[in-house]
Amino acid sequence: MANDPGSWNRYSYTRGDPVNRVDPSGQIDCWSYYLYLTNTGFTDPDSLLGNCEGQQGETGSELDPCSQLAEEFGFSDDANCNDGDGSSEYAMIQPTLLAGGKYSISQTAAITNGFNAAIGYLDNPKCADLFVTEGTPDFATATAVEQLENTTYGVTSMKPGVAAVTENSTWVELASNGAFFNSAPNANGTVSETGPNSNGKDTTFTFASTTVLQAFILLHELGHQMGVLPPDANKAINGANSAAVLQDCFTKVNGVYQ
Amino acid sequence: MTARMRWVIRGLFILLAAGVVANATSEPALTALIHGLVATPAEGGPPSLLQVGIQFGARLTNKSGTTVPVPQETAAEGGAIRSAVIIAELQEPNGDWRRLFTSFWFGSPKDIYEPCAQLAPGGTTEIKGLDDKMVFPRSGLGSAGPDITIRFDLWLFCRQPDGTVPDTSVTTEPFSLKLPSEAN
Repeated sequence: MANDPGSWNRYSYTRGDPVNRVDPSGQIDCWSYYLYLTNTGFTDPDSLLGNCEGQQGETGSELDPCSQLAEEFGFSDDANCNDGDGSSEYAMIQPTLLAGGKYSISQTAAITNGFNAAIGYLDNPKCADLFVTEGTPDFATATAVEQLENTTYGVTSMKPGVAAVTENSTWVELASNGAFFNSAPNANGTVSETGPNSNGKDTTFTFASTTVLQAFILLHELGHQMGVLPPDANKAINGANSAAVLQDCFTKVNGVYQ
Repeated sequence: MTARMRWVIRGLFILLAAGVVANATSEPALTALIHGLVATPAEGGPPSLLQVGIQFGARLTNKSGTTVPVPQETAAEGGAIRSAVIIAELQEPNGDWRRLFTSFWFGSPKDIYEPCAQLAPGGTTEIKGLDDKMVFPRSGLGSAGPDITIRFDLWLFCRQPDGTVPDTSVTTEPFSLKLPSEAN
């Protein structure tokens, strides 16, 4: 790992290629287990997982958190666990979850994947520039990433159609019954959801994967958090905000945002 | 190009886009009076969040010179979505408004909208049986409550005969809300 340039910058787990690096297997990573354990009252996840950073243990070894979790909880091992042991090269960054919330493993994994993918997209200067606020110099990448890292994510059921809510700069609540957690992949693995376009008309948007969709939702909310996107007072503004995020942070290939 | 210039240009683009759309679609000038509001605590969230289920009615008046598509006065069977509280704002003691939350509408279910009613210029209609769920950090309320003055940016949903769902939204008149003390 030390010879891998991608491991030098903790913000670039996607190796500057979020399209192809966003956890394509849908595996649950070490941090997801860690957060799950923390939020289900497990008092000492470190005893099982270490600190989850730089996990390099071989599958089945004492350093492999998935093996230990599999033994402890009866989870199947690497079939659904990404611990950086060689079956996956992704060293996830831990998002902050709202204290006292109740999160399933799959919800925790979805937040972790989307959060890390969003950080990956911010490696792109064009995307990072979207979040430049007035008076902020051009090192906005760190600012936007820091804002993501300072955000506390929660999960709550909401009005059907609402994907997330936010207001103050450090809080985002994701709808447990919304698109973030419930988008079923198409046969080819892409994900399609309906939302307003910049004309306020309902339009179908297709994303390369669930994780790409999740990153889009988090980046849209990040725009509100940082004050660069106005509140979604009507569908046209909502659509214009989404268009700004999609244009600056994502690439559209054959009608699919990546 | 400096970061400041890019920010200004982006802001102008968004405002222009919103303005063009508003003009192009002759955004109707609705007013909305909220009435009959009942707030109940929603369970299950962490202590730091206030989650409140609300039921209410809305008296809509068309102040524009064109017909405005709005939901039917009463809900049909089947649980179609007729409205969504997208933004809630709290009135501060000094009269200023402070946002409590803004919602991101994305991933809307399909075929869940009732046919639109058409509200004639100058006309008024009573929309009954609306509901929603508000979620926001308790810290956002500050020292306010349990009686607060609040207003919504409310989106209204219905389906036109051509199948489209119009972009109808309204900022409600301010109204009083008693927050349920046992809300969690």
